[in-house]
Amino acid sequence: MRGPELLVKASVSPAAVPASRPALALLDLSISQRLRRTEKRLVTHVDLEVGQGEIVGLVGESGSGKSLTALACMGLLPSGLAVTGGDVHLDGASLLGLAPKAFRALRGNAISMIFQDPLSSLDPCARIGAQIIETIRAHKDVSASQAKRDAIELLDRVGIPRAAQRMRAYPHEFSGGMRQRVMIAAALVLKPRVLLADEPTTALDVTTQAGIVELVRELCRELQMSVVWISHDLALVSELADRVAVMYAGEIVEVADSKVLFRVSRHPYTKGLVASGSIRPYGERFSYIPGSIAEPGTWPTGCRFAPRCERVREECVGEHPDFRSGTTTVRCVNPIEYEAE
Amino acid sequence: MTMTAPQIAAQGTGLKARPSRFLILFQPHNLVWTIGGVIIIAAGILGIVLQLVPSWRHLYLTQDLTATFQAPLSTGHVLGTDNLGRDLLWQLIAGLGISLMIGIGVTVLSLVLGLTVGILGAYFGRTADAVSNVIVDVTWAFPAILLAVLLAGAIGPSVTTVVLALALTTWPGYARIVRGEVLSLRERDFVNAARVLGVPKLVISVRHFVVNLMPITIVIAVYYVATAIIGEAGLSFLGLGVQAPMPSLGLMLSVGQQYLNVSWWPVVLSGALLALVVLFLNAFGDFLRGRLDPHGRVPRR
Repeated sequence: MRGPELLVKASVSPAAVPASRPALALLDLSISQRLRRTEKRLVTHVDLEVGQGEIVGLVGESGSGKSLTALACMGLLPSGLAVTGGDVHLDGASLLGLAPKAFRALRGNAISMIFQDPLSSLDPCARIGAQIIETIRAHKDVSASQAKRDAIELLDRVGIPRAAQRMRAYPHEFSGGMRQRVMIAAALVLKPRVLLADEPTTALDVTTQAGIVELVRELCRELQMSVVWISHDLALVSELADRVAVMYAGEIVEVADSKVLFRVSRHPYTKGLVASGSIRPYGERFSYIPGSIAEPGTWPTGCRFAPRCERVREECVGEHPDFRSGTTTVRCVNPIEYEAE
Repeated sequence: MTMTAPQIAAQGTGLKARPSRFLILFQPHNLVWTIGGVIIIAAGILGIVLQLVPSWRHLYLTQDLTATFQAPLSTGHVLGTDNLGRDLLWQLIAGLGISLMIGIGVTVLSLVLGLTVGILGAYFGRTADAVSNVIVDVTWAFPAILLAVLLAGAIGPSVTTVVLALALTTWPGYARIVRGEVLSLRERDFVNAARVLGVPKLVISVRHFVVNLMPITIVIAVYYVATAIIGEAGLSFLGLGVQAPMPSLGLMLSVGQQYLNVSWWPVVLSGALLALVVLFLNAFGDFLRGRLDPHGRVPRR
């Protein structure tokens, strides 16, 4: 089954990998759903390195495996799903081999995560101050009053006005942007090395989005924190991220510097994504990628994008493509070529 | 004419001001429950105090064999006397106090047991779930009366017997409800968020599950007090529970029915009080359910 995919790791271009030791490294990570006799592969052979202080965007359609990849890094895959190959390294040390207790100690401490919907991410029955204090005290042996002072300071830092009074507020008393700021504060309690942000601004309106993006960028710089920003909003990712990895049907199809990727997308899928996102002149129709993403279990043996690809050729169908290097690293046998500028 | 800001704001909106939480109790359709509730709660508290202050016990314990079976409003006794010449009003108040104490004791025990086992089953792995399910099933299949007979045989009939027998047969229902609720709560995003932030399971259980279970729990607790009071009356009536001279509504029914041809009021009065208290508690539970559950979800009883 695996055949050609095994070669992927060796063929990653060194140009697309940051020079220093990565803070977070996904090594050949595969995730499957365990069925009675077989396995349904959901994510296959994902290789991604995130350098210290680097912001990496992880982009793709719904169902491409972005969120599962992030949850696997946290060791919190939904029941029935399991990592079936590869590993996740945090600062060079393996995460997935850790005992549950040791892993829990790292969560929120060394590696942290924020979710899409800040309202459902906060317990409606608990005051926001209590929820932050809870995280602090889960990791640090500090007094209640010290934890409270820390929490107020954090809320203040993420831009909650009158933080001391707002500690006693319930989540429903906050606006969406404020709630996401609270979630960020809780995630950053212990200054984690890596923050996984799973579409943190999707549920927010555009002006609020900008505020959150700016905040994450500032905090990232301030704490030398690495960020994996999962999104399907290309414009936002191009603005925020240093590098971008594009996922399609459970695998990474293209990795590139964000400035490069949007101008010279080499994978036809990336090109389609970029085209469908960009603002068109009045009257011109939206462009979109015809068809829909292949469901896990129905992936073609060749290139998984082949059925929807306008550049499809005979060899695309037969064999699963490896990564190819160039200005970007791309998983395509017939990538779009650009004239040297 | 000058108006205050709220008056101006209220003008023209056509919205009726929402009554405050407290004032709701004095609206005409709630008034009867409010008055009944105040009387029952006051009597219940008085009854509990009677148990706790030994020097006051003479009020309901003093016998006067020259004045047995006095009718209500006859001699100095407002509700008359019983077969030993004891004052019926004080007997009823003290009996209500005992019943409420037993009801609350049973409820607290059931809730603690149910919460613990329910959360353990739903959130601490498959083995814990399998074990707790078996325990719940087996316990649930056990009739309260049989358990009371066993306990009465082992440790003698007493208040403890009643509380244990009732609590040990009541909690499985609540454990089931807790398990079901936690199975849904644990998939909620805020639990995931707490997990990715490294909050331990025990802390999640106490700070998120127990707190989010409170609305359902409060409603169920009120029903449990009501059912426990009926259960206590039943067990005491059968002689498996509260023993004389300690008063209890069930015991008064049991003793009173032996003298029914001489005087009907001890039986009728204690039976009526029992019915009223349970009716009030059920209505109060319904009221709470309406107030506490924004989705109008009806908890299983």
